Amino acid sequence: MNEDDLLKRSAEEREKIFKRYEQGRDGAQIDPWEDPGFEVYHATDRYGFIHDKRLPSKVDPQETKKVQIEIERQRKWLKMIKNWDSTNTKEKLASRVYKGIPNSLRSDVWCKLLQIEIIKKENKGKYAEMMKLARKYSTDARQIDSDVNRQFREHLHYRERYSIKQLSLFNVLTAYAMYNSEVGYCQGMSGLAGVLLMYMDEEDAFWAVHVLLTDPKYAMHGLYKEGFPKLTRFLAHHDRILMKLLPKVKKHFDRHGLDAILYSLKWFFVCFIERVPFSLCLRIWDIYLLDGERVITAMAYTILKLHKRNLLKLNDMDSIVNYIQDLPQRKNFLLDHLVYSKNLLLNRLSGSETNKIVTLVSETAKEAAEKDKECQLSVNDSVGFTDDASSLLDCEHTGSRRSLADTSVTSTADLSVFSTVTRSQAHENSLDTHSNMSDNSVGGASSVGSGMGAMTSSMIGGGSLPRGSSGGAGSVISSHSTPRATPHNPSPDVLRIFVPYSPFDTPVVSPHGNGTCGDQQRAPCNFLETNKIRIRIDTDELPTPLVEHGQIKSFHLESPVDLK
Amino acid sequence: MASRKKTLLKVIILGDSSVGKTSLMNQYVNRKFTNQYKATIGADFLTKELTVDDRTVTMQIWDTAGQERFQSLGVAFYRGADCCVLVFDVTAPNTFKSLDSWRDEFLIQASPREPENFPFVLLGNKVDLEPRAISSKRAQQWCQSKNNIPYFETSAKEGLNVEQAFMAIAKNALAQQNSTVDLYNEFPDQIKLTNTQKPSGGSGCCQ
Repeated sequence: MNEDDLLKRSAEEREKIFKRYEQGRDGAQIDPWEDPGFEVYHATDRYGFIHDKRLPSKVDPQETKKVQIEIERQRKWLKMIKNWDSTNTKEKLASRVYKGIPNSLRSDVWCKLLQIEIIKKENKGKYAEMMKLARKYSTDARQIDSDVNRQFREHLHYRERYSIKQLSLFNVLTAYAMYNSEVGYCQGMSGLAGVLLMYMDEEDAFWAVHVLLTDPKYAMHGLYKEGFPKLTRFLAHHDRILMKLLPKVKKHFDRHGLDAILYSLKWFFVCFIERVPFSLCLRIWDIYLLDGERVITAMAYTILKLHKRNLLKLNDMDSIVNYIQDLPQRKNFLLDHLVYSKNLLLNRLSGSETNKIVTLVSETAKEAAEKDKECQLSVNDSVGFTDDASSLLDCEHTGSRRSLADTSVTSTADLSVFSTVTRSQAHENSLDTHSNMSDNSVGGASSVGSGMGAMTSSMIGGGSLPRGSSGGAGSVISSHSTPRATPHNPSPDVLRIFVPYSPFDTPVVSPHGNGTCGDQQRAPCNFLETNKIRIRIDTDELPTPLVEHGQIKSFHLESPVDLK
Repeated sequence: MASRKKTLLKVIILGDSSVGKTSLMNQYVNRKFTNQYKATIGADFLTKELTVDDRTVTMQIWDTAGQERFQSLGVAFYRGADCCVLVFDVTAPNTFKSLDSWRDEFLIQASPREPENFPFVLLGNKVDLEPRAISSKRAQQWCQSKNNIPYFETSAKEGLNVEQAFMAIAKNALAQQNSTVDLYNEFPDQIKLTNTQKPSGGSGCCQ
């Protein structure tokens, strides 16, 4: 083609383009994806999950607020990421993680929490090497192939067969099966890697999987390898927790022949992926990556605790299991309770509930040293739990898009599930255990107080506000500001439960130390006997609202100030 | 033993990964098929009421994970099974080869009283797909060698033969439940030790 032809062609092209704009939409050829009407745009939530129906087009004011809060938080997080090793970061990291890592920064923060950079540097070229080996020798390819084909297919990136993300998922799993040949590939890992790949590139996700499996903090190795030794231990642990802390639920389950393995295996195996709304799942993951395996059993307890009242009403195994398994899908259920969530106190409450546990967990999590010998969960069953943890659920409530199936989202609904359960129960019926705390005793008054508190707290984003001092309301939610503040109780009851230690579940030694979270120095309990779960229960008579208020206040001050 | 208050048949579906266990169960119970089932982790179950020989029974169908290593969790799920359904994919020879191992493992873990007479049913699924790798004849031969296991060729996608297969499964399970005192060494239902012991066993405390 000579120069004239080229010039001519480009002139023609220019002419065509200009004409198309002059002509406008009439008769123009427009691909569906070029227009806003393209259905996928309307059915895809912020995490990339495509729903069966359009999401509501109106933005929920709560969600707007939530987004604002997240944007505000991003600044703090950006600062923190820049100075990751500073003492300031160490001080604030835990409380901020409990409030939720801003979604836009999850990639960075997750990598930092898992110390991906270090391990990647130490193992340059390893991933590529494993991919090569996998290509030649993988024996897991068939299973991985069939699971990649059905993992997160409702997600934008995994939707198309052999899409780039599917390829990444396949690569990571086949390569990892070569790298860790004792585990190889186990169903469930595709969910794990699938979520990681939503936030990381291939090689990072590969190392993230490795850290999750082999670092003693997470030790998922024992969960997946033949015989599932860690699963067995977790199941035993879970049973004992139920027996001690939710004996009614445990008896109820036993009476209907329901073995906890039926529902809890699915939680433990994938750390709640596809078992709770995705937005909540991410929040759990934030905390899991910070505090490690304890979060999982604690969360399991929390869920049952929050749904206790409803679970006890179900009188056969089918409905109980369905109820538990359908939590993320329970659309009607969510809607039914949505109305309550207007009353924000509910959210607040539910937040505190979760907190409780998570806090507990985080508290115990610090005792990394004892970890292999001992599983412990300390439950602070009286009043305060850390406040920042409250935001685990609390924040969620601001979301509005409802999730289908396992995917995402949100929260008003999600939360309200939790909250209503606990809340309404507390009021209508004092049968609920005392562990529902002051709600029971305070009754109506508390709802007012906590309602206000919740409102405010949601404004500042997730719950660190002190409750109004109106009555006991404060004590329900209030609590001290961070997990660190926990050892405030003078004389906790301690239940000790023996758990046979299984030597099989000792994970492969991690190639790098853990210790991401800055608060390991705090070891609330000092019992060193092995093979025990310790569950500490504060006596009920210690609401100590004053102390808590002090702590809350300080915490509370911090947030609004920083928000500016 | 016709005196069981409520006849509950527990049926376990076993077979390699991706042969269509979840699809078969859902096709039968919900008459739905989708390509988008997720890998089953651990086990799931669905129940369905049906009438067998004028008798209303509840069938509890257990769908299990297909990856081999999950067999070790069998004890928890297989307990009390009345019938075991083995599934393979007629287009995938390796899924047929694993049948022996699934059957043996089931018998070991469920440990029924009379393993020889324990009812199995074999389903060759995905007959809507081509090319076919395992012929009917070959499958039937295998069934004969195992004490004449009933065999059905199904398509969970098309709903082909699914109803019939599960009806046969129910009948076999029921026959087994009726013919023996009990499959497992559990106590017969109606033993009353004293007047104070109510059969419902303490359900009063959860109200």
